[in-house]
Amino acid sequence: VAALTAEGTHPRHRLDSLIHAPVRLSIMAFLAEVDRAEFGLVRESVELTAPTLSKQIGTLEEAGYVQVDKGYVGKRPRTWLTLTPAGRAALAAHLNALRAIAGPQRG
Amino acid sequence: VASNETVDEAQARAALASAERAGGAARQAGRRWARRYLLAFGAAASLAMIAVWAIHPWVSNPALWFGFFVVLILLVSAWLRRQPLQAKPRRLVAWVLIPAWGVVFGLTMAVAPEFPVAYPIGAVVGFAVWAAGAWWVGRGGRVDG
Repeated sequence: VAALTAEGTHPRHRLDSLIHAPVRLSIMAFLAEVDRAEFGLVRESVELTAPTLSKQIGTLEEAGYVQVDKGYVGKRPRTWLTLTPAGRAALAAHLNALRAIAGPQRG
Repeated sequence: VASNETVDEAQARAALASAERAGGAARQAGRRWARRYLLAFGAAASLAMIAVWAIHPWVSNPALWFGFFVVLILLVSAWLRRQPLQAKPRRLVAWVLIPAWGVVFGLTMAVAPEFPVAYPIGAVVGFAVWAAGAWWVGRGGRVDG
């Protein structure tokens, strides 16, 4: 996955364009704090519609950042989402770049 | 350059705030679910001890008890895998709760053949161990450590 721009020393060059989208950043930040979360719980927590979350998860899964597991609880289909090690590393790098850009917090 | 970096800085702060909100929601949900899991483990372990107490006069084969607890662990694991959120309090469980409960369980099983009243006492003390863990997680203790 390419950074926002390919060259340069400014921290913005280390941003991950895939994670930079606010919705995907929220999804990954949520998943980073848990081992595994059910689709509906993520949808409620990050306040998205099911089709929107589904589309964003597809993008993250394609990039190898999120693992999707499908199963059943009783007769109900369930989808569980897990942040992969690559996803965790990418998120950590992206957040570090954001912190470098944001600089020290002003009073 | 200055104006570009001003925009960058504001965007970066907004993105970090957004990530922190999402992470905070996950941590809160994680604590809530972890508390339920710990209480559920405690309840299952204590009910198992009560069950042993109830039927021990008729069953004395240690292999049966071993099988009983293996089945119990498998059932609890299967239940956990079906839950909407998994945020296991790994280090707390690994380094504090399991050893503490193991001591209670071991002492109970060692003493109870001679003094069957140890079964309910062990069940209550064992549950208290898991409940203390749930309380610690619920009051904001780190879920991962």
